[in-house]
Amino acid sequence: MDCCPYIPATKFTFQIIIHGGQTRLKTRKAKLSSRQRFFKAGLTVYCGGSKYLRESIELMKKALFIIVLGLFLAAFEACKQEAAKPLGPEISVGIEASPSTLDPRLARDAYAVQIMPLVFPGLFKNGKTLEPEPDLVSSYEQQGDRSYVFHIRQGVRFANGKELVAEDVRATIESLNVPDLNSPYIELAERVAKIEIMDKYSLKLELKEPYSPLLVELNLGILPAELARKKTQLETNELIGAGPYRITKWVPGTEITLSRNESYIGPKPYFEKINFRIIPEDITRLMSLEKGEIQLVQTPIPPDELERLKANPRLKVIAQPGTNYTYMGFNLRDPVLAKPLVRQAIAYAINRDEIVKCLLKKSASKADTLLSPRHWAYEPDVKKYEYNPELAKKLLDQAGYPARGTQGPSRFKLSYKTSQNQLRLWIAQAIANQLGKVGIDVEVRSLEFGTLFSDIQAGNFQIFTLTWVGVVEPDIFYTVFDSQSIPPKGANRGYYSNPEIDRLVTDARAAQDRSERKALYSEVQKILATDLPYVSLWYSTDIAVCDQRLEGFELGAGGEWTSLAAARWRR
Amino acid sequence: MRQFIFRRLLWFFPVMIGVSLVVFFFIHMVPGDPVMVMLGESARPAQAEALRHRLHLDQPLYYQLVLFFSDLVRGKMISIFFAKPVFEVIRPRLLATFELAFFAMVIAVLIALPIGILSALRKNSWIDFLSRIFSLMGVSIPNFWLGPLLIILFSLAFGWLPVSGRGGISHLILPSLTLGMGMAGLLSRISRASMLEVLGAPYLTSGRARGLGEYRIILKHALRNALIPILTVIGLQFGALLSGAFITETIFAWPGIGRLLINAIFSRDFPLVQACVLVIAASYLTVNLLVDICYALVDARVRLWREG
Repeated sequence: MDCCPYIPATKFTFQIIIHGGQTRLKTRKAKLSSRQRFFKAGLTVYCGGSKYLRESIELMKKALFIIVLGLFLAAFEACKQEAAKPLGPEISVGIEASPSTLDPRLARDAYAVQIMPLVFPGLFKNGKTLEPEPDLVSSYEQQGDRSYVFHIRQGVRFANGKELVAEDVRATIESLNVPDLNSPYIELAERVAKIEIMDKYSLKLELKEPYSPLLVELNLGILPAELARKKTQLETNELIGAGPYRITKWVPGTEITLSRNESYIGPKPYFEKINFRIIPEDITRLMSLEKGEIQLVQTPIPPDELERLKANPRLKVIAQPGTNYTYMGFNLRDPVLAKPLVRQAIAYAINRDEIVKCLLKKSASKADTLLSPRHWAYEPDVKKYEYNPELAKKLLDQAGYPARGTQGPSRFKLSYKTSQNQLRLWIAQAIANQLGKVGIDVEVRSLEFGTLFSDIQAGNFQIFTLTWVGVVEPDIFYTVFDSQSIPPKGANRGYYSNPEIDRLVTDARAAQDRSERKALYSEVQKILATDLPYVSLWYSTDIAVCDQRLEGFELGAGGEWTSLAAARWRR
Repeated sequence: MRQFIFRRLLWFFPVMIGVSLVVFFFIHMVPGDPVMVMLGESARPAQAEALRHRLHLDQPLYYQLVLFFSDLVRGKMISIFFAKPVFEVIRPRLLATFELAFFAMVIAVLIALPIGILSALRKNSWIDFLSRIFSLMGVSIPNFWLGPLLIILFSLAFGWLPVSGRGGISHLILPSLTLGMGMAGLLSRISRASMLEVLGAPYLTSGRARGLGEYRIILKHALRNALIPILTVIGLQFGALLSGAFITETIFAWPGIGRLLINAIFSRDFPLVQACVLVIAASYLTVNLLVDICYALVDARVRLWREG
C-alpha cells in the first residue's frame, strides 16, 4: 500500500447485521492500523492513497451514500405500504397471463374463462359433478327434442342498473353469428333455428337439430342487449354483466381489478375488490404469495415447490382431483403407429406411476379415459395399461418389429414433439427413456408452442403429448374422435376413424336422457381404451395455495374463480 | 452540428425500411397460423377463411407487404390479439421499459464509473483485482439467476422491497439492479481500460506541471477523454436493454415491451411483432444518435472534425 504519509488512510467498514429477522446496515469509520486485518466480519473496503485518491474516495462515498439512502427510502416506502395494507375487504390473486379479451362473446382463453363468471353469469353454470346447473334461469322446460323454454330470474340487474330480461339473452346469443365479430362460439348460434321472446322474462329457443350439450354451452355470459348488438369487441368500460363483480380497471399485462357490483341481487360478496395481478413467472408468483403481496394462486404451480408451500404456516394448500387430462397422441397415418399392437406396446412401456411420483410429485393421478372420475359420464370399467415392459416387448414382436439384440439397432424410431415447458420436456425425456428400454428409439423435439400446435394440426408429427384443459362436456368425444372432426374442422389430430365411434358420439349428441347418454359414452370410452388413438397419461390435480386466513374458497371445475364471491377472511 | 444531425436523421429511413423488410419476411416464415391462434380449433373453416380474408392473410406476400407499409404510414396497424391499434398497445409498454432501462443505466453508471476509475488509478493493486472480479461476475451472472436471488434477499429475507409488479420507486429497484449489474460489469471494464489509456497521456503531466489539482486532472481531463468508448458502450447497452429486458421483465412481472414482443411472437400477432421491432429499432437509432451528439459535446476534436 503506497499510502501518502500525510494523509491518514481511512477504512470504511460496512457490516450487514442480520439478527432475529432485523437487518441493519452499520457504517463505521476508524483510523487504520497497519496490523489490522482487512477482512474481519462483513465486507471491508480499504482505500488508501494520495490526495486525488482521497477525492475519488469522497466521490465514491457520496455515490454509495446516495445508493444506500435510496435503498433505505425504498425499503421504508415498501414497509409503509405493507403496514398500511389492511387485510380488509380486498384480495389480490396472482395469475399467469392476461386474458386476450373479457368480452364474453369472444373470450376463449383459460384466463378469461376463469374470471368471467364473476362478472358475466350465464343461463347455466357447471355443478360439482360437472353437470349444468341453473344460474340466471329460475326454471326451464324441454319441449320435444329441439325446443327449450327458459324462465329468467326476475329482478336480476346488470352493473349499470338495468334489469336483465329475455331480450338480453336473445341479443347475446344472436350476436355470436355476426360475421365481423368472429366469435369462437359461433357454433352455438348456428345450431339455433329461432329464439322467440314469450314474455319479459321467458324465451323459447328452437334448435335446428337435437343437441344435448346445449345447456353446458349456455354458460355463455349475458350482456345487455344494446351492448350485445355491437359488432366489434367491447371496450373495458362496456364490459357490463349481471354478476357479483364488475370490471373497474384493466391494465393489459399488469392487472385486472374487479369491484363489487352494488346492483347484484344475490348475497353481497365480502371482498369489495378482487385484484388479479399478472405475474408470468411461476416462482415470482409464489414468492409474491409468500411475501403476502398476493393472497391466492392456483394451478400451474411447479410440483417441486409444493412441499415447501405446504410447510409454510402462513399458507394453505387446497387440492382436488382435476379435469385437466394429459395424453399421448399418435399420428395414425404413420405406418408404424397405425398398428394397434404398437400403440398398446407403447402404453404398456410407459411407467406413469414413476413419472407421477418423481416428476409430478404426486400432483396428478393416473388416467385411463378422457373423463375424470368425478365426471357423471366417467366409465371405470375400461381396459387398463399397467406398466409391463415385458408384455410391451412381446406385443412389438407380434407387430412385426422384433428386437435386434440388446445393444443393436432399435426396433424402430419415433419422433416425439413436445413444448418448451421444462416440466413437459423432462416428462418427454422420461417417456423416451422408458420406450428406449423396450427397443423404441425416440427422438424428443421441443418446439415453441405455436410451432408445435401448428405441426400437430397439420399432421406433421408421429407422437406428441398435450393436455385437454377443463374437460366438462362429454361431447368432447365428438370433437376429438369423430372422423368428421379432422383438422381444420375439429380436433381429431391423429386421423382416427372408427364408424362405431362415429355412430356412438353422434347418437350421444342427440340423446336427451342422461342415462342414455351415459351408456353411449361408456361404450365410447371402452372402445377408445382398446383402439388407443390416445394413451391416457394422467389427470392433473387442481391446486390452489392461499393465505391460511382465506375461508370459503373452493376450486372451480375449470379453474373458475367463482367461489371468491362467497369467500372471506377468517374473523 | 445541425447538418450532422440532419444527415444522421436521413439514415433513419433506409435503416427502418430494411428492418421492416427483414421482420416482415421472418415473421411470415415462422410456422403457425394467427387465425387458428385466435379462433381455436372449434372455428368453422368458413369462419377461419373469413377472418383470414379480413386480415389479408390469404393475399400474396407482396400484397401483404404493400398493405403493411400502407398501414404503417397511415398509423392503422391493428393488433390481432388486442384488436386495438398497435401503437396504442405499445405506448405504455415502451414507457415502462424506458423507465426500467433508464434506472438500470443510472445504477450501472453509478457503480461502474467509480469502480473503473479507481481500478485504473490503482492498477494491479488488490482494488483492481476485486474490481475485475466484480466485472467478471457482473457479465457472467445471468439475469434469470440474479433476479430471483435479489428477490429472496431483499423481498423475502429482509422484507424491504416488493417482489414484483410496477408501482413506485420501490418496485423499480430490484429489476433495475438485476439489469444494471450486468451492464455495470461491462462498463467498469471499459472505464478501466479507457482510463488506463489516457492516464499516461502527456497532457495530464502538463496539467500537473501547471499546478492543477489531481481531482481536476482526473475528473475533468482524464475522464472526459476516456468517456468516448464508455459512451459508445452505454448507447449500445441502452439499446440492447430496450429489447433484451424480456427475462427481467418476466421475472419481475414488469409490463415492458420485451414481454409484449415475445408474447406477440407466441400468439403470431404479426402487426404487433412488426410494430414492436420497428419501435425498438427506432429507439436504438435515436439513442445512438444521442450518443453521437454526446461525442461532439464531450470531445472538441470530434466537434471540430465534423464542423470542418
